[in-house]
Amino acid sequence: MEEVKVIDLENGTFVITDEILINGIKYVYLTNENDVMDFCIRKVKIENNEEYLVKLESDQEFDTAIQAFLNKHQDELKNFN
Amino acid sequence: MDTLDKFNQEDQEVLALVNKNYARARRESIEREQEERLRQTKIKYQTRPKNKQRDFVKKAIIGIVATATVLGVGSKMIDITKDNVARNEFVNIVADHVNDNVVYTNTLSSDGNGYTWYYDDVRKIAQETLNENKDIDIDTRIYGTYLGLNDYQRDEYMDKIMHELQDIVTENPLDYTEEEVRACNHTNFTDYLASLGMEKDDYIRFMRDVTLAYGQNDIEKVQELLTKLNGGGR
Repeated sequence: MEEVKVIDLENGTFVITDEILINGIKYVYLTNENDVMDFCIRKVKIENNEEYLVKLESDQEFDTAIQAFLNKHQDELKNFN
Repeated sequence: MDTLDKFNQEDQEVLALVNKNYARARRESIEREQEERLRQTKIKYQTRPKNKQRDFVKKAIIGIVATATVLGVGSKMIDITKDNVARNEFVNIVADHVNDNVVYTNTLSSDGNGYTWYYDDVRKIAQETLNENKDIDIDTRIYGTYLGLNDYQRDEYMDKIMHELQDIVTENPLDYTEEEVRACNHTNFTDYLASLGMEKDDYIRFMRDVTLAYGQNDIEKVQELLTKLNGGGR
């Protein structure tokens, strides 16, 4: 077993797979705890010193977030044990 | 030839699945309408800890990487994914007995990050390494045990297991094959690696290929690699 961080979204419980800072915005990569192929991306918005998760605004933003994830983790597919 | 034509039927099924996952991820990540954006319920970014099966996050990373890249790099990436699945299924066979012997305590580790654990019976792990999966060569069974151990203190536990393996084969040498006795007759893991004429990093890379060949059921390749392994220095 391993301890992970989870959060409840509107459509289920998701595991925090990674966080990446892009242009000063923190993007959170979330994976459905019951299906590792079901994922989504949120970004963190700060209001009154509290962090909130909100959806992305465009396909372009989604692509940027995905590309940053790939850049960070590309080697992991080849080295997966 | 169109890119899609390069995929065989099985690849196309994988591709369709990946495509579906990717579209769903995109759909669930983006606010499409201004109206929806305005009435969006904000979710406070406050996580809670939860225990999941080992390597969940690692698999989740692979899931996103595979899904996001498969369309771009085509069948080569699909092959890597399929190979890894086949290899992992094989590794589970030779590593599973280690999981049966791990004991998790209810004590938080000193850094507060997770719970402490230990291996209950190192001799039992050694016995199962020797006595289970006899149709698989002993060096691959030892590697399976290595992979099954937690990363933390892995080498220390491998030293203990190698020591137990040596005790078991020297106590009853007639119960084991010549290969098993030769592979297990080392006081610690470092000596075992030295008998193969390999540094640990080379060993891990080499055995990854062996387990991949097993996973693909490519017996000819397995034999070729094992010949090289045993010709290394033992």
